[in-house]
Amino acid sequence: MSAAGLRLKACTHLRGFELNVEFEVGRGRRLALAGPSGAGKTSVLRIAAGLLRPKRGRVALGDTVWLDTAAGIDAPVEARRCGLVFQDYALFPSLSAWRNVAYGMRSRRRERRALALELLERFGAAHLADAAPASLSGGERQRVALARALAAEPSALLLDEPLSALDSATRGGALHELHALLGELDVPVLLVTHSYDEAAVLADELAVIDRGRIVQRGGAAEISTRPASAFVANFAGAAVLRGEASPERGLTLVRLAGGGELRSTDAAAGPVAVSVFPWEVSLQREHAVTGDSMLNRLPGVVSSLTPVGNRVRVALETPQPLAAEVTSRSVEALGLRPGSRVVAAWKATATRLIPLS
Amino acid sequence: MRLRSGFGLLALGAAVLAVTFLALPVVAIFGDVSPARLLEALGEEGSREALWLSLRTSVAAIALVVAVGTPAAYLLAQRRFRGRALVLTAIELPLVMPPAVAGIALLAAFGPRGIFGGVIADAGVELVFETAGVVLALVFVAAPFFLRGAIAAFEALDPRLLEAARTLGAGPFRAFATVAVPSARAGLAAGLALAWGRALGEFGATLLFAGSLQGVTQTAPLAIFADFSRPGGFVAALALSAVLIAAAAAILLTVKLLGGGAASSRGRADVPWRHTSSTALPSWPGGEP
Repeated sequence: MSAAGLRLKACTHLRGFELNVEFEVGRGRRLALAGPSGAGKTSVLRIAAGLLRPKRGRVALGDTVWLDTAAGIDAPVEARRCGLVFQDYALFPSLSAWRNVAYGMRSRRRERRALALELLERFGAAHLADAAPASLSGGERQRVALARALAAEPSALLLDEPLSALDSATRGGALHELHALLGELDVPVLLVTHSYDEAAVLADELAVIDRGRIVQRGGAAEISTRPASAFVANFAGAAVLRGEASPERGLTLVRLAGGGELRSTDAAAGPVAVSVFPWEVSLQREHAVTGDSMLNRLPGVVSSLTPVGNRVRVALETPQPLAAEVTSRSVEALGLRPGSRVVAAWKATATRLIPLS
Repeated sequence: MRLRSGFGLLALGAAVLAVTFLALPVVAIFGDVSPARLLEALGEEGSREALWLSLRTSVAAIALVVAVGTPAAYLLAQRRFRGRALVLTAIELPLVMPPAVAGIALLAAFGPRGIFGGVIADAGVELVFETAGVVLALVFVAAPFFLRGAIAAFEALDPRLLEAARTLGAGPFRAFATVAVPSARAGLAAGLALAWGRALGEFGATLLFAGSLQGVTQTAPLAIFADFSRPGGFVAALALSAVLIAAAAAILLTVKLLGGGAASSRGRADVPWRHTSSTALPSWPGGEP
């Protein structure tokens, strides 16, 4: 853990349940708190920023203690300087876009406009510098809000459902922009989302949170292939694979990093994240004679079997980890156990592509 | 609303009646006095003095009300505490108090034989029959108008705006001055305009508390009454009234325009995807598809 990592431990009462979380995020690392609405995700962000004081807890950035309820330490919000991007962006309505961006700058007053324009330029929003927030679209607000948070040279970046205020057409583009941006930052990034796909694309690590508790923490592939509970299995929908897309005879061909090819009905070109729901993936014995409509076949070895209610989540060692969800009956019929060699198959129509360039 | 429906016609009738009734007396003042007579009345020493005194005292009173009232309203809008409803009612009481009662109350508190009369006299401050007394009376009757508007405007503010300012390094005062006040400025301006209008028209409390000494405590409304009471003074009273109305209208318009919300009296919170009142389409009755 590098020196300026964010460590948070908090215990407090929320509406109807107890929030009890503990985690750390290293510098330049990205942790996604993923969970359903009302699980306490936003409260965790507010505790980190100093906007909510937990009953008991400790928050520290590196060696700087922001909050220690036992020692009576509680640094004010403005001293912590967390870059918090609010769900609806909370731009100051009375200030133009560039003045919003300049609000938290520490540089000298006459340099601020130039710096704000530079940042907006980086987000492709320089032409909006003099616009009032009320006249901006959702995607434009998001860019201004991100630029504003970064302009303040934050010690940590906190993102609250960064894409949920966007319509689905804008979201894809915003997702890959955000992905690229977060990759360049060297502060701890903590983001909150109810969308597993978003979490899987944006973060290095996920913490699935349910009713105030972190029920599983790990990489997206690990959580998808080895869910700790039925709740996690249901929430952690798709396995997310990385690859390079190119058009091919009306479909899109994806060459997976590490080997293997897929086809999708989604259009894309360049780097992509491929999302496949485990319940769309069927398993066949190796060398089985097939004659079905599934275009995608990846051979692999079963690495683990996790019962989830009346189903079994099967983790596969393919070039990139993949999960299949089958019935217990199928597990018996195929005689699946760790080490079994199988072929995972699914349709091109069940293969979602998320552009990352 | 369709005008051809029975209720549409009824509402139109009510609107016409209301506007006519409120505008007619104002128009009558200007119709009754010739511009030449107006200028002549303004040339009179007493009228000029009264107007100048009204302007000075009301500006001083409003400056005090805004300086103290803005942070006070901000606090009252943000905090929830036991007895808050009682505090808000106490603030609003002068609104419904008859002006003469306000004057009596001020005398009971700050008059020579009032509760704080001794303290004030010891401090060497003269209020009764002094211009400072006029300002005190104006503050008392006008402040509730500003406070009410300011509290409502700050309550309508999205709390996340202030939180955002804090995360960007702004302390509580900077968040108040650079985010809360500008975001609530339409509501603040509306409250200011009402308070100023009330201060300009103040009569009863001033008369009882500070008296009606020409050049010292005789503000324009008191001068109008003095003119009106003297035989043959009706025209002079009319002329001064016309000037007062024009001044009040100018203040109301200027403040509202500066506030940026020409027609809106509410504070504007940052509500995305919703048009603010100033950008909403004009809706003429019956003109909608």
